[in-house]
Amino acid sequence: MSGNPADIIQRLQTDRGEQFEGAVIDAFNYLGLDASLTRTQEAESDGTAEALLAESPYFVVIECCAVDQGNEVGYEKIGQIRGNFPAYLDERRQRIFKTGYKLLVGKPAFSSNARARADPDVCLIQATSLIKMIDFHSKYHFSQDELELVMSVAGELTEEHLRNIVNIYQRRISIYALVCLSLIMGHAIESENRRRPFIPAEQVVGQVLGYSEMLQIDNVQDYEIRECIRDMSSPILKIIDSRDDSVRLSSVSLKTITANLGEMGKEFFSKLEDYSNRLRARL
Amino acid sequence: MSEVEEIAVPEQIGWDALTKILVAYLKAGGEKEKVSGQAVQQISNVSQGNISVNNKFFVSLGLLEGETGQYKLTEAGVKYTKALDWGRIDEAKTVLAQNIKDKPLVRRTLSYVDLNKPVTEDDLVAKIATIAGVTKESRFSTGIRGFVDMLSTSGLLHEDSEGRITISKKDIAEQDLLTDKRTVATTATESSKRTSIAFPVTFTINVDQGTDVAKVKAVVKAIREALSEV
Repeated sequence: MSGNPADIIQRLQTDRGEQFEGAVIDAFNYLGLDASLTRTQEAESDGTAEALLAESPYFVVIECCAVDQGNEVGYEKIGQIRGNFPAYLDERRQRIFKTGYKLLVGKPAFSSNARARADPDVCLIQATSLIKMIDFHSKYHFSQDELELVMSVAGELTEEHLRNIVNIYQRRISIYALVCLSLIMGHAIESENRRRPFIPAEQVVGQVLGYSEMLQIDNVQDYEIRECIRDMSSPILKIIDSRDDSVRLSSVSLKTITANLGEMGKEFFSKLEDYSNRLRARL
Repeated sequence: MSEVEEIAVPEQIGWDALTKILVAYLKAGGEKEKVSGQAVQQISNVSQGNISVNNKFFVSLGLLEGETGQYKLTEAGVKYTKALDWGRIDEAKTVLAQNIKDKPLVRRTLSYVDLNKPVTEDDLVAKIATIAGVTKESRFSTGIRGFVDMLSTSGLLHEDSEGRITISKKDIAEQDLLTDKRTVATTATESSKRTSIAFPVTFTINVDQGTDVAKVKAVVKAIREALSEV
């Protein structure tokens, strides 16, 4: 058992059999679910995960299968998890949860038959997709409600399904970066003493709308910008100082703030640099 | 089938195993045709004897239909087991509650809880055994506890952290409405048969923090309406 994402990722890549099952369960615990192995008995799947904090609490029955490189996880596993599922419909689960999901985690890939037969009630996740989920979670901290969007996929989880979840965060970080740039004279982020004086928040909204058009960030709405300004003024982010209806960049160093935000901070700073360069090239 | 015949309680097993039996009927093809206990046993891993003694209970709740040895799921049974098998537990609970709440055993159990609330599980198990006319043998008490769990999971009963059982709030509202209607109707019918004698009537109602004001109002209203017809 390990909560270290790098270790879990490595085990997901290399382990087989019971070790692989253990790595999958550790992955779901890292993702914030309450997961545990079902010590193998007849007619039982490999593990379960529970989301008691979700708005609609749910549980997941997990089947794991790792086969040799060049082979594929077959459709038999779909029948197996469907057959095992009723064993998990005990009184406690029926009382607590609103939904139960069937999840098959496999590597290196699923057969076309397995993919075709998973619909409508089994979600297939390749180990590589689970690794991506761990990476994204390290950065964005998925909630149990967001993870339900993954569990409820009928068929194989694709890159697009994950994008739909992370796009919300990436878009938000893009707007944060644009708000930040609008508060720096000449968009020169390398020089932290070039903070603009207090300016009306509505002026910032107008500038960010202009920048988003120039940088081709789709359809940014003024309410989104106002929400971002509010977020950035919170004592947790502390990127912006606000006074009445005016705002300015706070006097906390941007580097300090981004360092404190971990992986998400790195993405924010990288966008800030990218947008700064592109805007300066255009203006 | 008379109401007496329709009352049956589970035997030997609890709600977990009862659920397995029902879902196994679906998986064995009981959605379309009658299936044998043996087929259900192979899927559910519940013994054929325990399946056999509990079929009558499922029939009494309208979830199975058929005769000894061969049963199929009713439409309600199919809806319930499919929702469960697909993991739509909330939907399954609603389907179950809607389909069993008017069955004699369920109705009488809910009425008992409503009148005596809160009750303990032991009290309720004893009362259900009396309603069903079965002894206190453990095979019945195990089954009846499973039945109580069934009512709790379906949301018809609510058990708090201290084990006090009441009927769920949503159901209380429906029951109160029914009680009001029945009270008014019954009293009005009975009063019409009485001879017309005028005499003063005084009621004393002790009200404390636990008193349900809405119920008091309903009782007073029913009495007033009934007496106005004398």
